[in-house]
Amino acid sequence: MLFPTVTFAIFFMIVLPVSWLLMPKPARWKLFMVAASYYFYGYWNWRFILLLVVSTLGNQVFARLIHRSDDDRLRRIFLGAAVAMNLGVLGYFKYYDFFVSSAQNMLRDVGISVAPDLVAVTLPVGISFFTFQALSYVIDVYRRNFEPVRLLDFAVYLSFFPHLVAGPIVRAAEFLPQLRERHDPRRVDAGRAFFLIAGGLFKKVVIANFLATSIVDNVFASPGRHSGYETLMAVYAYAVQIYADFSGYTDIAIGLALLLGFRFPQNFDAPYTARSLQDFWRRWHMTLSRWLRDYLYIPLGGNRRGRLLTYRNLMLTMVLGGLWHGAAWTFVVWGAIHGGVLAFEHWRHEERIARGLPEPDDTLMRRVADRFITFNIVCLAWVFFRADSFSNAGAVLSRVLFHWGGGAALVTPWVLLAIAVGIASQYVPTRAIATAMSEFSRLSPVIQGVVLGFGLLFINALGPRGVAPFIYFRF
Amino acid sequence: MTVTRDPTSTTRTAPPARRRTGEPPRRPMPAGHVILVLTVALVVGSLLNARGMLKTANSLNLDSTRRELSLVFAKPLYRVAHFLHTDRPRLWIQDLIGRGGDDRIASVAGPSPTTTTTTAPPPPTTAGGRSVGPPPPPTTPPAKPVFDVNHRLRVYLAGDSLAEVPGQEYLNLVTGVNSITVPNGVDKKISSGLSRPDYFDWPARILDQVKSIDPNTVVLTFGANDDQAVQSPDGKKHSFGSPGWIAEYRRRVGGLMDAIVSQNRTVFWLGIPIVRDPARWAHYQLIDQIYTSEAGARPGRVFFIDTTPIVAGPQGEYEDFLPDSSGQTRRVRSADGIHVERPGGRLIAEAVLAKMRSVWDLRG
Repeated sequence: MLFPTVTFAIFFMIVLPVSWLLMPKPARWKLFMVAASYYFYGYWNWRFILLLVVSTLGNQVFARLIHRSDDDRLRRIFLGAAVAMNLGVLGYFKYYDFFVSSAQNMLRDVGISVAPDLVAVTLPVGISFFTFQALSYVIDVYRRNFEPVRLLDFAVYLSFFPHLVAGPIVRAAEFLPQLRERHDPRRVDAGRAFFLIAGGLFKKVVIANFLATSIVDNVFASPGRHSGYETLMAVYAYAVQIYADFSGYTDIAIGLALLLGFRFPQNFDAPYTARSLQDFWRRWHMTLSRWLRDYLYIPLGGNRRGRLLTYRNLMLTMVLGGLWHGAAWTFVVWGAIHGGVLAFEHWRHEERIARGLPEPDDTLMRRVADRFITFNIVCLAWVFFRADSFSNAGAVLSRVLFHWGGGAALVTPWVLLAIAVGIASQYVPTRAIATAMSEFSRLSPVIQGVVLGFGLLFINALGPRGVAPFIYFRF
Repeated sequence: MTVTRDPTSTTRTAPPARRRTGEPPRRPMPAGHVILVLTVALVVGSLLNARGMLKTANSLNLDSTRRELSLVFAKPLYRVAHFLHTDRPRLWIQDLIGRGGDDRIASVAGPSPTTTTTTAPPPPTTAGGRSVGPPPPPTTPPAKPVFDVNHRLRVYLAGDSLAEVPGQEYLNLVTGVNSITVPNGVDKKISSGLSRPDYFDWPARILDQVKSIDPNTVVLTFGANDDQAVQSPDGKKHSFGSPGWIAEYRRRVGGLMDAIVSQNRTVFWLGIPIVRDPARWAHYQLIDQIYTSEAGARPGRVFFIDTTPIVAGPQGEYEDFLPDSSGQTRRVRSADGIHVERPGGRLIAEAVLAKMRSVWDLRG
């Protein structure tokens, strides 16, 4: 079920009042929420509900086994089995065909012909997200950060529909305590929720879909037909599209959770204002960054084992983060670009300290230059993220670098405006947004409803007919 | 065993409306008011978007209960909105962005065929004063019409979602072919087809584009959404596969073909490739049969390209993976088992170009 649809609106208008009515009776509320979330998930394909059930039961069993055991060796074995189970399921659904066909092609290149069984596995929506959440739960139990919770609580955590299919990746330690809170039905943070939902819908339906259909899809499909300027604008447009698409989704998810009385962590914080790649990853898909940091980068040794190992850890973390996004070598290159630049930034910082050099002055020019360079490095990496092959990425880059002649019919004033709005909106001071939310929350409910109704008019009239799936649904 | 924290052990009050220090405080709202706000928003939003909602409801499958149910709400809603003039702002916005016709529900019959037999001789086809059509039934192989860098073959590609990837791959393929130009790229509209001109009037769109682009040839791909009921010009509904449906769909396909070829242009009509779901494939085979026979009724002017052998396995069976021209195994079909991925689109595009080369002498 997609958020920006009438079907979801009807679903939510039923779930919301029932949820608040059942809230005083936690057991009933949890059963209802699991049922509602399974219905939401099964709307795509009911068979995948079984996968969610298996993941819930399997991880709960391992969490309990780990918790009950005092033998560290046994605990490690159970943890290893849980990780293997989660990565095994993820690997099968997401990477089976990729690795088998890659191996087949590599063997063929060295003269060995094999005909493995390629099965065109259908990727269950959101599998990467709920698998990472389940892993965080089991690993945190192993680390003795907390005890396993009851099965029903864990089932609610894993399946809670606002975050189920595309995040944000909510940690067990962030969500499970909220199940015990007494949610006061007289104090819903609706002002922020409505703001996030309306803004998220606008970003997704208007900005992201418009840029995708107006320039990005055409240029990336046939880069050879487009001039360097047109192609560069398509790359910038993609940067805005993917931000609007993904942050729009998580804004809606956070807003829906707020209306149900739950808080999710922030997932984006004006990423294109970042002054370095390190800064970028503190602002982009923040819940994934934190997950990778806590469950991959730090266990690998982080930055505590010397420079070379730090660079290796950064590179490994980002390459694996790239593969998490999709089963393609282009995602590996995307991760490698980020890992490489992060390692370079780390090296530069260390060198500066080693030589006793002061930090450069924080001038306006420097800030502008830092942001420009960072944004363009991110855009370079986006080319590999968006391209469906190396040759496609190469063609796009070649057009940008060497083919500046020709027209730019796709770079319309509306496209430029959408790109400008997408980037400029990230420079709007947080305080201004907070003030707007505060003012909105003080309007009477009927006025709020009317304002939101007009918001729906603009979103629906400006957006293209039909709803394109969210980019991150496929990850 | 030491456990540092039980995640459910904390008990706190309701989520605070003010989380960050210094942030202007927000006024919390009772859950009942939240439901009121959402209800008002949906009512106001529906009144303002009534025109679009009616179009969406109307576009659902003619046979479906969902459509009937949706129209039960959408029609009176639209009447109320129209009476209150709340449907106007949407029109103004759409006019402003050049999409004033988005919500129009067309009621069109579309062109009817003028060709009635399969033995009609192909008329001479010319473009730009130069012969471009295929030859008359030969006794000796005549020279093919020539296109080169100075006189390019103008191509118009159009269709439903099935047209997208093969069309884009065709564009990539002919980027280095100097004798071919595709002025407008791929003209595609997802979820469309020939069965529902009330949703998107393809014949009108194609004839309009043909007029402005003046192509020598038109490459069309349809059918993915056409296995649904149609309405004939007399207003009767015909369920998919019924004799009435076959007659009406055939009329639309033949009518479109004739409307294009009567302007001395050729048509390359791509069939639907075999799909994963056997039941759906049975539907598509019926549609493909109509394309085949209608193209066959216009020899030398309409060329049907059967795409199944291009992306199927050795026995004509559905395959997700196939070797490409270099022998590398590639995924050729999308996850939905209907559309094609780029390598599959490439194979289809190569077949279209090969067919064109068999009809014309494309130099450079």
